[in-house]
Amino acid sequence: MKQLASALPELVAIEELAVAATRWGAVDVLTNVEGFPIHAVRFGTADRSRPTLLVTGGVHGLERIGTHVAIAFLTSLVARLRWDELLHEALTRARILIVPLVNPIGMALGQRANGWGVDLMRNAPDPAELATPLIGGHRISRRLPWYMGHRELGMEMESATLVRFVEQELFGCPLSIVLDLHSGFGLVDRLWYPYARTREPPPDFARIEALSQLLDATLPNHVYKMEQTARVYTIRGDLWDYLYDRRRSAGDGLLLPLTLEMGSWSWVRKNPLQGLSTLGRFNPIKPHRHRRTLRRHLPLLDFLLHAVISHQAWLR
Amino acid sequence: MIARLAGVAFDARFATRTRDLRKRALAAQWIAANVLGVSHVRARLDGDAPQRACVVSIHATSLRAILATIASVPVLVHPATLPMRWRAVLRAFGVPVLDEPIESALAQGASVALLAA
Repeated sequence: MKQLASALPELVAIEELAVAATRWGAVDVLTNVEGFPIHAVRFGTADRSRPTLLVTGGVHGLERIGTHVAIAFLTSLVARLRWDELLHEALTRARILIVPLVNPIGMALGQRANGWGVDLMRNAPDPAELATPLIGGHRISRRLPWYMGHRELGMEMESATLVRFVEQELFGCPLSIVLDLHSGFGLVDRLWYPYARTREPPPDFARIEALSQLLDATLPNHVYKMEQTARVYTIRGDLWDYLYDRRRSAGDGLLLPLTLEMGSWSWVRKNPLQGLSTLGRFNPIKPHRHRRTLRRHLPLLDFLLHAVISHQAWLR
Repeated sequence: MIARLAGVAFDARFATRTRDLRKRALAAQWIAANVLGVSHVRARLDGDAPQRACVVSIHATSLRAILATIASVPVLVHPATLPMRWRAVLRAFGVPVLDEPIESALAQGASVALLAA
């Protein structure tokens, strides 16, 4: 336990919070990857036809801050559920699901990929396989970053578990919004929407624009730049592209996966020395900056919860 | 905009490294869709694309219409039927065009588009 706490304090924190969360919600272990559990916490009605907000973190093991933000949200929810009647009321109309750590082995090893060297965000089936070379996914070697996995082996356990979970929990809802927490690219925080594999706008572009305008109006002066994932480079095998398309072909209803890419270059700009360490390039190292990052995104999560509940008012 | 188009052209150079004409037609479709996608344009075919390789005739008065056609149906455009300027732009974006006889393309399962006069 001591070893685990030093290698993966996030998992210890999640397990402690899970105990507290069971009073108001349900906590499941979706799977065990070589002894490391992937937890899912559910709050709200058990009715799967209700609109849902899913928050995921830790898909890339290096980007610990994503899991930290998910844990901060979970901590805040557990604290608020002790006294906040409005939140209880909201949870009769919607559901909140949190999978704070999708890639526990990657995080324990301090690497982007999972234990087999596969980048989980480039691991979904993609028959076209056209994208920006190397960074957009490749099958050259697992020793290089952005490895998609062997073509014949299918999806990795972590990504297959996440896909199964999303299909079970979100495919029956009229609207589900996913916020996948990452860090790394750019100086500003970006909210990325599908597609990642092509610069073509997604079929639900008008609805995404509606959400973007709602965000601008509701949180004036917010810090997010909302844009398509493929704006800069294209990615093959993106999990959220895959799930977005599957949800569209499964019938009515919208699954809107958003990736929050926290701009870690700004942390490195303010503290250049942290750029020398691998973790430092993806995470805020200074304690005050870390705390600032944890509180910075709570308004966005609150906004998304309200947008999910009141989707009929803005979703056409 | 220019940087994003340059990004498409960069991706295109790697998407077309095959001599299989059917794969080149699919790459042409992806590149054309990306070029249009840079300005938030999405081109889609109403109905089904032809199942078998065939020769299609395009009636287009702009380069954007040509790109929309290629983005909708995987085809290799016959370059000889295109004005020189359009051919140069397609080349700059990295959109592959037909560089073998039409019969050879059809035999390999790739559809061919001819710009109607």
